[in-house]
Amino acid sequence: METLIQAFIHMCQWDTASLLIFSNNVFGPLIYYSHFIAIIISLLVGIFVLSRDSKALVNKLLFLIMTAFSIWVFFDLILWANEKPDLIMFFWSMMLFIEPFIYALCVYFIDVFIGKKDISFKKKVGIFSLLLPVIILLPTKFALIGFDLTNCFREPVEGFIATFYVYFIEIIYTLWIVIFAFKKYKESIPAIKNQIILITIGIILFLLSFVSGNIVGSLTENWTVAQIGIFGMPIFAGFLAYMIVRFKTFNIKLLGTQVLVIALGFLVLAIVFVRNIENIKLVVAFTLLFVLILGRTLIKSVKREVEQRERLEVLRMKLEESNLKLEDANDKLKDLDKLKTEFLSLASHQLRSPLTAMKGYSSMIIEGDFGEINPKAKEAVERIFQSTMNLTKIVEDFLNVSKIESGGMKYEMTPFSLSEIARDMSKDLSITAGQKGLKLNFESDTDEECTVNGDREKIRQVVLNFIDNSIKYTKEGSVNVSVRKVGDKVVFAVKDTGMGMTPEIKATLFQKFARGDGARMNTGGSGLGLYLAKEIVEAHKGTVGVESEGMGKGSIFHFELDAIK
Amino acid sequence: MDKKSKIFFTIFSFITMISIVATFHQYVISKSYDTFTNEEIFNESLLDQ
Repeated sequence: METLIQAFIHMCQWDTASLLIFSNNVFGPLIYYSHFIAIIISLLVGIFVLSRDSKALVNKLLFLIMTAFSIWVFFDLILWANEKPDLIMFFWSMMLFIEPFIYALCVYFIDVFIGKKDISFKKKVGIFSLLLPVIILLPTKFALIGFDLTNCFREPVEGFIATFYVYFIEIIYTLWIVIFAFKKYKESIPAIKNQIILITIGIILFLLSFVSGNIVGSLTENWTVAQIGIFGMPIFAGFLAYMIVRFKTFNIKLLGTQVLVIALGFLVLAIVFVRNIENIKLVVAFTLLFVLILGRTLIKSVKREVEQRERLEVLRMKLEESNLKLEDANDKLKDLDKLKTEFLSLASHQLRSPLTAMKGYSSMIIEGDFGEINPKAKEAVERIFQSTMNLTKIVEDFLNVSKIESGGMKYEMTPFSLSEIARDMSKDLSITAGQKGLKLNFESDTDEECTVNGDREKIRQVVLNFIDNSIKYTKEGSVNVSVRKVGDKVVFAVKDTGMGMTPEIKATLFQKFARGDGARMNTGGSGLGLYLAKEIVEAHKGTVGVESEGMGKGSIFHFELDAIK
Repeated sequence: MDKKSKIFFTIFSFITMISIVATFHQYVISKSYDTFTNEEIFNESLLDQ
């Protein structure tokens, strides 16, 4: 057979290839141009994407596709250049495997790209098992029957695997991609839909141009025309480059400017591989077109990047300025707050002494320690005494607020019965309630059940505040005080038939100086009672709240503390 | 990648390698393949030699 082959080589005047790929058997110089561009661009894109994030599966898959394609193109070049039938047979077989392998990788790739995660084991087996008949039958006559020495085309005679099975699974893979992409497109949000369209079109165009070149070659026996398929790669690379630049796909943070510049450079360099001066005009025209398209994209992307950076810089400076102003204002506020607390504390302390004197002397006058006074004068002094008591209460409230804000409020925690305190307060205030024509009712669970741990005096103030408020803001009806054990909590509640409140008032009631509509009924208050009550209860790890169905429908004020087990 | 997938791809790669080696041996080393010739052209070429 060796003699026969040598005879044929001599007869067909096949040139001996050097380094596998260089020989005069390549009769179309454009072949080298198209092949080398495809190899360089595909490897460039693959390496670029992998270097940006080598851990991401989608980046690895794209790199594999690009590498497999580069190998396929290189083997194709060997088939063009080489004269030895044994090498042609071997590399033709390799391409029979690599071609559907690229399709399988594309199916895997698009699933991971759109799904954003690895596919299931079943799917992997499904995709790659289709390749097993090709792999297993590669060295047999099912792949290549033999070498055709009836003409000078340097081709093998293809078997069932090459003429039918490979194209069959490539159609399956293509449909798989289209159906999957369509399904995901329908399910996706608008922002992702564009990416799905671009990547799917890019892959389909690439695969179709890949296979159509082979089909055209097989049908027409014109393998020069078949080389059009190789240009599918730059088209795919173009889609990828656009996606990288536009959507920062594959985690590529850097703008694709560098990719575009390098691609331009290689396009120009590729002219070196054109061996025939007659084709140079065509090659230069083609290269110029690509340079113009890529150059325009490059200029636009650089311009966009520069504008973005300028905008970001302006925003950054404004942000810095605002931050400085905010810091300044914050410092001033902190100083003012400190001054206010100090003033409150000082003023309240200063007021205490004269108030104590006023309370004492007016009380003594009322009791007749300075002799009998006439009833009108007595009434006036009683009013002075009452006002002094109210003012003392307000001063105490201010003092407590300033202590809480400065962190100086101390609590003496001891076990005590909440129901006992509530009962005592209810008894004391029942007189005041009776004077207004209100009924004050009290009910509770046992004192043992309602035992809590806390500052007895502070909690007593809270209880007093709640009951006193209910009495003040109820014109007629009743005030019901209850203390119950609920689960592991003790709940104190005061329910009245008073003026009630709107949700807006409810929302602000426990804030400082918030009095809602109550200010009309009770002008003597400080607006701090409920705020203090909330602070004290929360310092005891409890919760405080209010319910009301609306204006004129009464209210329920309540707080709860942990029961002692 | 999970263990099952790794095993699957390892086996797949192994089978592929065996196939490549077998194909290389078949065509390049043993040169064991059929050739299809046209007798007239064959005889003519021998005469030229």
